[in-house]
Amino acid sequence: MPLQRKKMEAIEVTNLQKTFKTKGKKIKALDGMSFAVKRGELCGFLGPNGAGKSTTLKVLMDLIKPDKGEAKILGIDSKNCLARLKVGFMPENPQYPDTLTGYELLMLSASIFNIPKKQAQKKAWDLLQAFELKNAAKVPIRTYSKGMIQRIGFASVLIHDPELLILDEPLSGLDPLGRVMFKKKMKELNKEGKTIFFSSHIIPDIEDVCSKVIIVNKGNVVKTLDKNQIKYFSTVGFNVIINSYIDSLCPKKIGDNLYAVYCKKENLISCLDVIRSNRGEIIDIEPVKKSLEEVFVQITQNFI
Amino acid sequence: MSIFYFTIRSTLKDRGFIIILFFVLLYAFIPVFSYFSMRQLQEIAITLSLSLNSFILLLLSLFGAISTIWKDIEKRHAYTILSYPIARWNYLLGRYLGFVFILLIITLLDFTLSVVCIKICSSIYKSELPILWGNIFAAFIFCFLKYSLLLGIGFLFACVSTSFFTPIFSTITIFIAGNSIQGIVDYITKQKAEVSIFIKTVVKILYYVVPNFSAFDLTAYASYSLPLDIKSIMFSIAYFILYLGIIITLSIIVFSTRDLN
Repeated sequence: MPLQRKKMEAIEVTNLQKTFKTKGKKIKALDGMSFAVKRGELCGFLGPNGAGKSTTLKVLMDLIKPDKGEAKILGIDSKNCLARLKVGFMPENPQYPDTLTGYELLMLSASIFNIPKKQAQKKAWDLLQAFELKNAAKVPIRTYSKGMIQRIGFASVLIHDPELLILDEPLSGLDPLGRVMFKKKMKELNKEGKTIFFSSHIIPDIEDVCSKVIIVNKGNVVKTLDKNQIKYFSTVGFNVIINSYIDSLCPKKIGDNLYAVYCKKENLISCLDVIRSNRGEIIDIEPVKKSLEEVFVQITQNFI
Repeated sequence: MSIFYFTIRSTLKDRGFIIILFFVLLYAFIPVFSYFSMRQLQEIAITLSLSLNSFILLLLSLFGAISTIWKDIEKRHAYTILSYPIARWNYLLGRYLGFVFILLIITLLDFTLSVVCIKICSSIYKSELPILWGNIFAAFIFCFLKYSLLLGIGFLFACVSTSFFTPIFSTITIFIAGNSIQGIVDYITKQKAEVSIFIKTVVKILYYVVPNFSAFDLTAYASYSLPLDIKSIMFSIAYFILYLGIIITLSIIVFSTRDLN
């Protein structure tokens, strides 16, 4: 049984389809969305606005009913509320009841997960401390700044120690310090073994923390890249630094007895062969990268 | 249970609720207004107490549907609550029962204040009629049942509609229709020849569809110390359970299939 659980995907989405009808117009939000997120991954869900990211996450949380297809969380159909037992979900721009204070929100979350009161109180104060909200604990959330709301939202999804975190645009609207804090926290939680699946349209954030990226556009998955593939796709070529001038390669002088040869990634082997045959010495090989942003544009344009 | 307690706690802190609660202070004026009736102080005090309770519960039941389901959906609080492992029916029932509990507490508070008012009034001018506290309490409880039903209807409209006005005005319409349907039916059945069969049929259909709130009005029994008919009381309770069961089931079905965009 434990072996089976280990093999089980954290998230499985199969052929999700959803069309919204607004003012007589039909808008296809999901058009056969299928992907899987393995346990222990820190997976980014990347796509432009209107690509279907939030709709997919809402289907996963059973806030929206798909027209077709199915979604599973930790092996349980997402329509079953028990699927959310080991999940922490933070929606985009989270909103909380006006009357609740930060502390009360954490205690409400704890009571829903049947955490004993004393244990919940301790956990709540620990989380308030960790998210630097201790001073604002007894203040109504309606008076919180945007960054504070994001932080209390994040804290509230951690109170029951979930296996899987699903976060919808968790970094949007945060100041640089807040972004650093969130990314650090996500990396820490992932190291502890938690699966994290978060959507974003901010590419550097995804590039920074994710071990896998699912790129979506027009309600469908365009490409899934793991860490190595992200490296492969973002590397366009190499600067090979050598200590002698080789005519056939037309190197650029960059210092005393130092020359740089640029070669495309598919030509690296032949370039190295030429250097070897000319008895040149390789000092360094530096990858020349384009940003994930450029990779994303290239991939989505190919898809269009 | 968490949603039940959460509803109670959040309602008690809600400004709208606190404003409505201020109407309770009007109980202080009941002995004054009853005094104007000269010789029917006790009867008027009972009627006014029940009317004030009815007015406060009406405001609360209209407020209840808006401040819970509608507000949760509109302000996207539902995203947070429903992302917990809570089934939608559980959430809806928790919200409803939490607010019904508030209605019950307010009814009991109103009853307590009414006891004081009625005692004061009856001591000023002794009525020929005895005070039947059992009847008065039953009238308060039936008033509570009536507004619990209205709250359920408000919940149903809040589940169906995304607009603020639809649940409010639809519930008010049902409230007016529910209070007058018995009178209309009685009137039509007496006017044998003058009313067309079509109108009679429409009224008959409405009679079964619209909740008959007259069944919950025991004001006359409380004010004039009339003996209660146990059969009709039991019938009203059975009617309440059946009607509320249908309304809540419909609300759950609608809410469970609704997309929360």
